Amino acid sequence: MSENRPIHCGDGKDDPAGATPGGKKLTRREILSAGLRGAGLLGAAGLAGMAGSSSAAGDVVWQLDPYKCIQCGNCATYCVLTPSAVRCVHAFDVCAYCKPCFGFFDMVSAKPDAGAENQLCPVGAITRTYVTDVYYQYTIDESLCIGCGKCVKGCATFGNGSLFLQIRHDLCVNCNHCAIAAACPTGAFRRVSRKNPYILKTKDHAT
Amino acid sequence: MNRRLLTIAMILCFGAAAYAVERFPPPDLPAGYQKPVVPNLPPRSEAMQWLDAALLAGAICLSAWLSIRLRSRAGLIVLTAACVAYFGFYRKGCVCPVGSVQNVAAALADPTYAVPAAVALFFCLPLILTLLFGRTFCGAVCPLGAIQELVLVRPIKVPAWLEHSLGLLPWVYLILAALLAATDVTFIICQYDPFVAFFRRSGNNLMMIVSFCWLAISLFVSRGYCRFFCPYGALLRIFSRISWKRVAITPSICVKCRLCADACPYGAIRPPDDAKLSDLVLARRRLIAMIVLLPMLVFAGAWACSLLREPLARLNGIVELSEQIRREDAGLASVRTAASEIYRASGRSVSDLHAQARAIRGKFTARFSIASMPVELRLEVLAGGLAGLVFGLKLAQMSVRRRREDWAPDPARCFSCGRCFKYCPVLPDGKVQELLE
Repeated sequence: MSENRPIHCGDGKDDPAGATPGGKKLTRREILSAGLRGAGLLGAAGLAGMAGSSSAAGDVVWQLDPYKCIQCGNCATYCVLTPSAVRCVHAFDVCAYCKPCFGFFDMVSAKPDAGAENQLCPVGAITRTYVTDVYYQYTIDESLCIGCGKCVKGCATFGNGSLFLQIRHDLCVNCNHCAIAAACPTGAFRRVSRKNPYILKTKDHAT
Repeated sequence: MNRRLLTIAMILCFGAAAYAVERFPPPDLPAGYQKPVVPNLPPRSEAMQWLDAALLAGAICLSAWLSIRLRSRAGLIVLTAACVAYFGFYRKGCVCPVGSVQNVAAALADPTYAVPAAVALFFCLPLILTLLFGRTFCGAVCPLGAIQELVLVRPIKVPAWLEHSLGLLPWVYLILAALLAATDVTFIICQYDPFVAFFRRSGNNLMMIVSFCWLAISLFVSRGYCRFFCPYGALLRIFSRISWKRVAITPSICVKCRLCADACPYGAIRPPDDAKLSDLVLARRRLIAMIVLLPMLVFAGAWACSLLREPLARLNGIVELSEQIRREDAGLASVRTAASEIYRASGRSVSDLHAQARAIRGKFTARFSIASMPVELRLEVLAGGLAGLVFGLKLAQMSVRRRREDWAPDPARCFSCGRCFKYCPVLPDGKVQELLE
């Protein structure tokens, strides 16, 4: 096998069968190949080490910043999951418990009663419950929510902005590059620490 | 009451920014009222990612053991199915080593970009193990390759010229993906992932169509994605060329029956080449010509790609939106797009958007200093030069001719699938199996 070695060797390829003749002296090609192999090993490990060293702070997941969100509706359509892993969350501390909730009612319709035709939510995921004569509680059924942000827009435009969108991490598959992040027109999506994976609206922020 | 609240709302909302405003004071809720608590469930634990990386390394080593030592095609099929089930359907095809190339490219361009440790491992483990055992990762572990391996029903033969020309596509794709990731434009490999929508059985229309097409193609073109598209495969190809161990078709000697070549659906088994001295001299002359041609190809690639800066930047959603709004404001666009309407209605300033787009365009120029000398490097020109270099090296490689005695797999193209083992009539003791019937 090896007496028929080619005259020239320049491409660093080893014998395809990989059968090094036992006890034979190493050929030039084999030495070259081993050298390249070592360089490749170092290169791959070094590249990964360089890339990975910046993540020493800890692991990250995707989240959307509700203060940058403009409710464009991309969250509902661009997520690789159907329905989207983005759902509406209600910050009860920020909510004013409005009787005519602008996140709940479709204000185009004349009658503010809780009939389905008067609701803004296309899937009926918001439940309106009586608290007092002037205050009503709005609860989101996350299992129904599709993350379209219609209620969020209503609440942000006319109310306190207590309804907001969040990636739900029990649903999110944490894609290498979030498909919604790529489509988000305001760059509201960013990587956050896995230990603190939500950007929630709280009383202090509502200024 | 209703009307009063509505009036207050109207008064308050005009002139105020459309978000993050507390317009109404917190209500006096009755004493017995309990505010509901919304649970915020944590993501999948970090330890599971380490488990994934360990499973990946284990599966590649197992694949190497099955293909190099045990020579068991059946074992490889079982491993292939297991990897499709775990890395594909259970882990939903993400993170995969193919896409991790982009994270590494992004991290090299921007040192503040955090690559999760698991992604860094997913990037380097298959590369290192391919240096040791050949493309055993592609053979049975990669869920994208594994699914193609399993659905192949009737492979069609791809002519050699087409195989060689299409074989350049992975390089183009790799360079393009690295450029777009480094400039923060998009992660194109993930955007056009061939099977991830199938693994998740959901996804946007584009991904579903892409998945469906690739599934249909893989019924007849054996591993079409791996051979003619996979950007990570391009790296694995060179690494596999110099691997320490690799698959051998025959357990002892080759009897040149060429049964293995007929069995290989990837056309990866090369016939013996008894090149005469005159052939070798001719080949060497052609090689020299190609090497002379190399700088010209590099320059041509760099020049061609220098024209692509703007079209490539436009692949980014923010840049595209900013351009659209600019066109609309200049009266060049007759209709406003939905995205532009939404952005304008959001109350955010247009100049803010233009600034973001400028920042992304700016990333195409890398600024660093060598020995306190400021250097400006246009990344698209670098990418074009690299593409030209790859073309030139491919031409040079094709003009290299070597004597080969036996039928043997091309280490760059062999996926270590093990189909050839079954067809090789040679027994481990060197005797030839009697062919029945």
